Order: sequence, then structure tokens, then C-alpha cells
Amino acid sequence: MKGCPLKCRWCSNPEGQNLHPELMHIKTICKKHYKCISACPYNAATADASNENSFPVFEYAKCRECETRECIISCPERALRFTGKYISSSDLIKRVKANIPFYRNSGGGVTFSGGEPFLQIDFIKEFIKDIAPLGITVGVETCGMFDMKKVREIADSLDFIYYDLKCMDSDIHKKATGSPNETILNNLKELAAINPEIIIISVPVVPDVNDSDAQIKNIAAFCKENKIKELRLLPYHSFGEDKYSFLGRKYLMEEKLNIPPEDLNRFMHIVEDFGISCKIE
Amino acid sequence: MDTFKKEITSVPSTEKVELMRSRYLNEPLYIDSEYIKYYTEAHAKTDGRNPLERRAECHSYAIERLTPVIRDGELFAGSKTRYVRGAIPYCNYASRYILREFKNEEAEAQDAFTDIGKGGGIAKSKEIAEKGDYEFFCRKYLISKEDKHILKESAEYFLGKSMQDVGDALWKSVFEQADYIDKGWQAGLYTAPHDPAPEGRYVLDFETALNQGLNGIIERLRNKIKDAEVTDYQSAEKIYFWRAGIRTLEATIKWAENYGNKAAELAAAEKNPKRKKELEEIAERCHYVPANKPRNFKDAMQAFWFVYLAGHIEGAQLGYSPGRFDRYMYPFYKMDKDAGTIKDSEVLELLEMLRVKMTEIEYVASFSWAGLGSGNLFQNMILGGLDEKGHRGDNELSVLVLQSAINCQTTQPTLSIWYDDSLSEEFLLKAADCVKTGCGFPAWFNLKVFIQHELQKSGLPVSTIRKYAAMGGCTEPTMEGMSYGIVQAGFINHGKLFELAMNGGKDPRTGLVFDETKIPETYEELYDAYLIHMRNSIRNWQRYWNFVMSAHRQTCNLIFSSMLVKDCIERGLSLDDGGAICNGTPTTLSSGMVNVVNSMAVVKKLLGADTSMDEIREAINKDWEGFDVLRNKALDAPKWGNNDDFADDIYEDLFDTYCTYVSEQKNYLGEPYDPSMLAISTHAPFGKVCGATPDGRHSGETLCDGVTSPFPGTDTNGPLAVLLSAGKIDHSKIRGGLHNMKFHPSALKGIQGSKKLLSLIKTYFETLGFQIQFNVVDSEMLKEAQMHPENYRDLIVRVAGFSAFFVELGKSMQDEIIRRTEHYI
Repeated sequence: MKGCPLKCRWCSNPEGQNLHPELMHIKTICKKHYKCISACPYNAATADASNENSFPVFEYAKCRECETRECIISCPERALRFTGKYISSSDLIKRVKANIPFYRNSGGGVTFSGGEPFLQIDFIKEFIKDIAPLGITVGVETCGMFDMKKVREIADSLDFIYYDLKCMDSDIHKKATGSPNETILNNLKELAAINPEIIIISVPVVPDVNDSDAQIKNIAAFCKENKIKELRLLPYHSFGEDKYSFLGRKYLMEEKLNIPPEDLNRFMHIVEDFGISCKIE
Repeated sequence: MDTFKKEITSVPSTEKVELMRSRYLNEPLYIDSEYIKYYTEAHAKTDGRNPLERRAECHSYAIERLTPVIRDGELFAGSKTRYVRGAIPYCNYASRYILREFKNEEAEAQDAFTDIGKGGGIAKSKEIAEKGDYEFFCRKYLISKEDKHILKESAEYFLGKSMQDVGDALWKSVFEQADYIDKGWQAGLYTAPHDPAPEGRYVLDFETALNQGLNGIIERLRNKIKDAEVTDYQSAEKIYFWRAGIRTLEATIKWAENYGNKAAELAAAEKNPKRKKELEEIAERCHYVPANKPRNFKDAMQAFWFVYLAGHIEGAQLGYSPGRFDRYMYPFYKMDKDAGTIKDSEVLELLEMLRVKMTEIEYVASFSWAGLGSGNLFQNMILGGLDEKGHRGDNELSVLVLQSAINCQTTQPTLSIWYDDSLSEEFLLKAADCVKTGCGFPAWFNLKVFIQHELQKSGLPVSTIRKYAAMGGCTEPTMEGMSYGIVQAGFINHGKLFELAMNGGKDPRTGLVFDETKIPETYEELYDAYLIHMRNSIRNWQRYWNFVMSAHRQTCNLIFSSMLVKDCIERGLSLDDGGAICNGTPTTLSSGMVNVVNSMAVVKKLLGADTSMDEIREAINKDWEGFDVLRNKALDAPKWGNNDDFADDIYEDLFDTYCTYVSEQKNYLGEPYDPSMLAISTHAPFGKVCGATPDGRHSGETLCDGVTSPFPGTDTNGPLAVLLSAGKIDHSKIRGGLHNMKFHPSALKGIQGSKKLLSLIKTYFETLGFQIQFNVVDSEMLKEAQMHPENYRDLIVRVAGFSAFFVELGKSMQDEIIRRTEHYI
């Protein structure tokens, strides 16, 4: 689900950050035919006059309002597309229902992911209400930044929650994600008080944010305090980098850094020492 | 391949198997003229004999004289030719293409657009040919100067006598649609005549062959003759048939004994005491089986191999298969295991050797057919299923067969699973492991659907269907030991039919006019024109083939095989005279339906205020040049494989109509043709001769494979939607099916990954889908293999109904495999 209150520097799904559908220009496919420039009725696509071999440039703010999408249909390479579309809860249910035979044998179900799904809590509520009689599992992946008042009423109808926990230090958190972490920690406490069994903590291990023994120890201690039993470590990768330029934005991670495997293993042991099961994914 | 670590390791379990496998991998391909030399000799001497006895005599005379070859390491004997990788050129089936090849002509007009592999053993052939002792034949075989001379004489002798010439002499002069067939070949509407290798797609009655021994069958035949009462020509004819049968069975025993003598000779000269003992055992065994019932599992392996190979030698086979091996071999395994006289490691070694032996067999056909089959022999061993009582059919031997395929990675035999929910978890997980090696098999078949099909078709008892349901060829079910081979004319190019419909019956590439139809302006007109062309092309193709089959009966009737197909002996009728219990097997096959469906959906969606049929026609005639906007609209229109009824309904309608048209005609044995769809590698050459299609496909691009897989890149709603579309058609109407899915190894990692795979199969089969198969490879790895074939000699991929060494495939097939959408589950 599109839209996220955080703007994590390492985010590998930048198309999930804004709430609205937006234009993506796949530069790896684009062959610079410039058909989009003549097709656009709003002059939102232009060529860089100073550089003959440059990609077309888009005014993404204009594109957001566009409903004609002439540029997409004009491109011979199909290098343009809109990411995100509106779908009603009932249409989504229809699609999920078609897949139920597969869930029956695999134990699969629906996981809301994003972006931040709880930003669209009314949609999720409606979905959960309608899907309940079919008895399939429903889970959510959340960054923790949401309005607990609304989420509280559905918390016990969820089968699992993947809950992101980036770091315990609010200042670092703010620097890295654009927001302090108090709300996130409080929400987690409150959810854990309802049912700690359904919560799995996700820790993206990011250089200079939380890749130290002390940081990981703090996270694990907090989890243990709240009776959480499962945690997974997701090492930072830069697979999303290209997408930033496709969306006309800048990638915020200054340099490509890797988390050494030996560090990850050590972090895993630290977490396990708190009696929490830990996986590296 | 160091950069890519596989989850399941593949290493032959013993040094002997490793020796045999690496010998195979390093061996070039040869033509061996020995069999056809003797066959021709006998044929020249038997003019005037009864045709059944003459056919039996020619084959028997030849097989008795074949040089027995036993190679280092082998624990059971029997080789189709004198070479590790040898092919017999069957001049008795067709000889003109051989003579044309000698004249360095293109064997078929279609060669220009067929692409065969260049890597592996084929590259080695080229290397040796350059040295001068051998010449290159059919672009991938070596032939010695002596064999070339023999082959040329045989080929010349069979001018006017071969099955192809006898057939051509009739249909070309009297069939009113002969011109249509000829145009069909020129335009690429049909695959080239496959008279050079038409046999196959059946399974012998190995159960009877093993348990009665060939001596037991000979005894039955003698009694038949003794008790015969001749009252008319038919009852007299039976005696010829039984006598012919005795001749072939006795020759087979003699041929086995020749191996026994050879083994004894080798044993006498052998210094290594261990090998000496092995050879002595082989010698003793070859004198005992296949004449008598095997005394143990090792006997049974030798007996099976002789019987299997003898059938392979008699006819120009493709898709001739071992069937339910884990069922008919199990009693011998069980007997030894209970007595404690064999270890599983020994059984495994023999099973791994069998894989190498079956892969060693080569065939030679006209060049364009070699390309279509990607050189594959389509030997299918099917495991699991049910027994006659409906209990699960898998056993310890089934698991060992899977393990042998994991350990010893070869292309043959391809493995299949008759899927039923009752199969054991151990067996299913082992099968998933085998899939995860990336070799492309086992393929999975839904037994429930085949039972439904067979009940409608033959009406045999359910218990019989359960027990004998097998696979003959890549994805063609057959009833083991009781069916006529699925002998059919070849493939119809549905992409071409669509072009004919679009252009009033004229082929845009060649300008040839088939049946004239109105140039369509509306969707309905297009659809109707398509149906006319589909119906006519099927009908003409089937009728043409019935002529050829009449020539088959006169020239190449299978006598040895008739002895091992119920109920030929009891009825006193050969296979070509309708002796088999199931004669409805011959089918008509096709390729490219998905492109037609997608094109229809595009036309239906786009025709209207903005777009006219003329505009679409102009766009595809210009290969979309200057029609970018229209092509994008076409690409965005609904497509098969997304669980979207707009396209799926068209598929269902065309599929049902197709089945109806196929069954309208009767085959040579008087049964309605049974619809089937599969593609082998036809989608590449068929695509090459087709211009652009309204689905957005470019001119010359490969067509969609098989029955239900989506066209690459058009399945945008994920693998579950693909399977939901595929499950919509009534698979019980059709014999066979083909659905490819490609997975990254990462998607199937660990036991949880295996379980995901199994649950996917189970669910698809609950929707009554019929077949599914998987490629578990990384497209990066495939691209790397394309660049550096030398490092990927043993990389096996699933192509259509079969697996092949990737580096031996043509470039266009390689590209297609890389393109198939990679799915994650």
C-alpha cells in the first residue's frame, strides 16, 4: 500500500513512500526516442537542450495530476509506467478469493505491506471484516508510525505483525528516517501488551544507524521487556537505488556499504542471548 | 559453475557410473549403417514373402548379426549401435532425405528456418570431421567412409520401396488436397514430413515380457498355431502373423546370446579379477534372459534392457518409453531385498547406468525434424500413480529412481510423476529435490484427469486404467502394453492459421493461397475465418496421414512390438491391423494457440471508434513499424494467463472447437482422432515463419509453447493467476498437456520451499489442471552458459515436453528459455 510517514534513507521501495500513483521512467529500458515529449498534452516532459544525449526530463508534480497518460502509450520501449493504482476493498477481496484454493494447501494468506499499511487503516478494517468468514490468515508489515487509537480495534484480528524497529536512539532515528521514534516504541509496547505472540520484529541492519553491538543489544533488550519472541535481521542492500532516479528523486545513501557477514552473525548471537529467536534474511 | 551453488548436489554414486557418464559427454555423434545393411540384404532376398513375415525376417536377420558391444564399466549389456552415441538411419522408412543429404542439399525446404544446437558432442563431431576419416552428415553426425558407402546403397535400394515413397506414390496422385499439404509445408503451416522417424509414443508390455520370458511367449504362439483352424483368409493370415512373431522373438534371444558370448570372450581376456567376474556374470545372464523369467533384480535389469532396446531397434522411434518402471520392476527388487541379496547402493548404481544407456541412443531424421525435437528421444519413465486397487503406487524403488536422476544428471529418460494425493511424503519430497536440481523433471501429471479422459475414450475399467496408465513420449499419456503408438502427421502452426484468417486465406510470407475466406473487418468475421482454416488444416492433415499409415502397414508394421502389446497375439492381429486394445491413441498436435487467443482478445478489445481492422492489419504487416501507440494498446489488452475472463473465455471456446474438429475425423484404425496439444520445439520454427501478430508479438518471434503457459511477459498478475487461467479449460477432453513454469532456486529453498512447490502442484491439480513442469535455474546462469558453453556442458533445462542439454539447443530456443517469466512463490 502506497504512502509512508517515514523517509528512511535506505528505503529500497521508494515508490511506496508517496500516497498517490506516480510516474516511473525506467531509464534502463529508455532508448531516448523522445516520443513522450511530443505526446504529453501538458508539456511536462522536456528534453535537456544543453545535452543531446540526455534522458527526457519530467515534471513529476504535473504528471501526478495527469489522467491521459499519453506518454505511456507513446513509448515504443514501454519505458514509462505508473506505479500504484486505486483499488476498492471489494475488488481486492475478489482477487484474494480467487487465490484461496492455493492458500488452503500452503497455509498462505494475505499480508499488507507498503509503504505503511496502517496509514489506510479504514481500508484494512473493511477488508478484515469482509474476509473474516473465509478464515484465511491476515498480517501486516508496519514501520510502527501510526495512530494507535484506530489500530487498537483490529489488533486482535491480525494473525501476525511484522514490526520494524530501526534503532532505540531517537536522535539517530530522526536523522535516518525523518522522524523520532517515541511513537513507534509506544505503539509497539501497546501492541505487545495485547498479544506479543503475533509480533515479529524486523531490524534492517544499516551502516551508521544500528550496526553496533550496543545498538542491537538495546533493541533486543526492549523486545525482551515486551515479551517478544521473534526477530529477523535484514541486512542493508542497495537494490532500490535505480528506482529513485526512475521517480525523479535522489538516492540518499551516500555510499554503498555492506554489512560484513561476521557482524551479522554476532548480532544474531546477541539477540539470541536474550532468549529471542533470530533469523538473518 | 563455481559461482552458482546448487542446493541439491548431483554426483554419480560410483566411479563406474562416472566413467560411463563422462564417456558419453565426451563422445561425438555417429551414424551406424550396420543394421540397415543387413536389413537391406534380407529385404532383397525375401521378395514375394508374406509382408508380415518379410518384415519380421528383415528385422530378425539384422538384429541377429549386429556386433555386440560391451563397454568398460557396464554391468548390463546392450547397445543400439556400435558407437556410444550412434543412430541408425532407417532407409526402410525414408531414404530420399539421406540421398539428398549426400548431395549436400537442404534435406527439407524448411531447414532454412530451423535452428539446431552447436555445442557439446555436436561440436566434437565437427572437430573430428575436419580430420578427414569421417564425413559430416545431417549437420551433426559423423559417418565413416565405409558406412557412407553402405548407407548410400541401402538408400538407393529403398527408392520406391520405403514407407515414404510407397505413401507418396498414393496420396500425391489421388488425394484431392495434396496441393494443400504441399503448400502447408512450404508456408510452414505444417511440420516437415516425419516419415524418417514416425514410430513411438507407446510402451511395451514389460510386465508380461519379464514374467513369462520371451520363451513363454513363443510357447503361446506355437500353441496358437497348433490350435488354429483355418476357415477363411483372416484366420490364415493370423498364422503368418504368429510365425512372424516367433521369428522376431527368437532373433531377440539370439541377439542377447551374442552379447553373452561377447561377454564370455571379454571375461577370458580380462586381467582384473573383479571385472572378470562381472563379465562372467553378464555372460551367464545374457544366456538366461530375456528368454526366461528373471531370477533376481539384476536379471530383471538385463531382461528389461534387452526387451526395451529390441523394440527401439525395430522401428524409427521417438517417444518410445519405459512406462511404469517402478511398478513392473518392483517385485524383483522386493524379492532380492527380502532375501537380503541386494543392497540399495547396488540398485542405485544400476539405475544410474540405465540413465546413461538410455541417453546414449541417438536418432537421425531429416534436419528440420532434428531441430524440432532438439535431438531428444522423449523416453518417458513415469513413477507413482496408483495400483489397480487404488492404493498409492510409489514404493522404495520409485524413490531410488528419483535418486538416480539426482545423482546422474542425463537428459534421458525424462521422469514424470502420476500425481495423486495419496503418494507418500518421502517420495514427493524426493521428487521436489529432483526438480530443484534444475534438470526440469520430473514433470507432474494429474492421474485423476487422465482417468476421466480414458473413461470417456476407451471405457476401460478404472482398475485397468489405474494400473496401466503411463506416458508414451514427452507429455502424451497412453495405456501401457495395450496401445497403438501415437503415430500422427506432425504439428499444425496455429500462428499461421491466424495469418491466413487475417488475410483471406493468403499466406503473407510466401503469397500462397490456401482456402479463400473473406478478408475480415470485424471480430466475428475474423473468428469465423479462423475456424474455417483451423478445421480445413486439421482435416487435410489427418487425411494425408491416413494415406501414409496405409503405406506403414505395407512396409514397416511393427512385429516385435506387436508381440508385446495386448491383445495382438490373442487376436492374431498386428498393431497395424488393429490388434491393440486401445487404437484411439493417434492424435493431432498443435502449437501456438495462446498467441491466437491473445491476438483475438486484442482485436476484440481494440476494434471500435479508434481502431479499424485495416489499421491492425497494416500494423502487423509492417511489423509494428510506426505503430508504437497501437502496439502499446495491444500489449495492454487482456491476455491469457491473468485469470481474466475476457481472454480466457476466447481460449475456452477455441479449445473446445479444436477438440471437436479433431475428433470429427477417424484415424487409420477407424477410431476418432484424439485431440492433444504439445509443442516440442515447434514454437521456434513456427514463430520464424509467422509475421507479427496483433498480440504485440514481432515478426519471426517464437510462438508460445504448449497448451497453457502464457506468452513470455504477458502474465502480469503472478503465477497463481496463470494457474487459475490454465485450470479453466477442460483438460479431460485432451490427451496431453503442457505448462511450463520457471523458478529461481531461491524461491524453492529448503524443505519449506519444497512444500510450497508441492502445495502449488496439488492446488493446480485440484482445479483439474493436467500437467505442470518446472525450470529451476537462474537466467543469469543461462546467459553465462550461452556465452561460455564449454563451462556448462552438463547444464540441463526443461524445454517443452522434455529436458535437453542447454548448450546443444539452438540459439532461439536458448533465448526463449531465458525469457520465460521467472516466478517467485
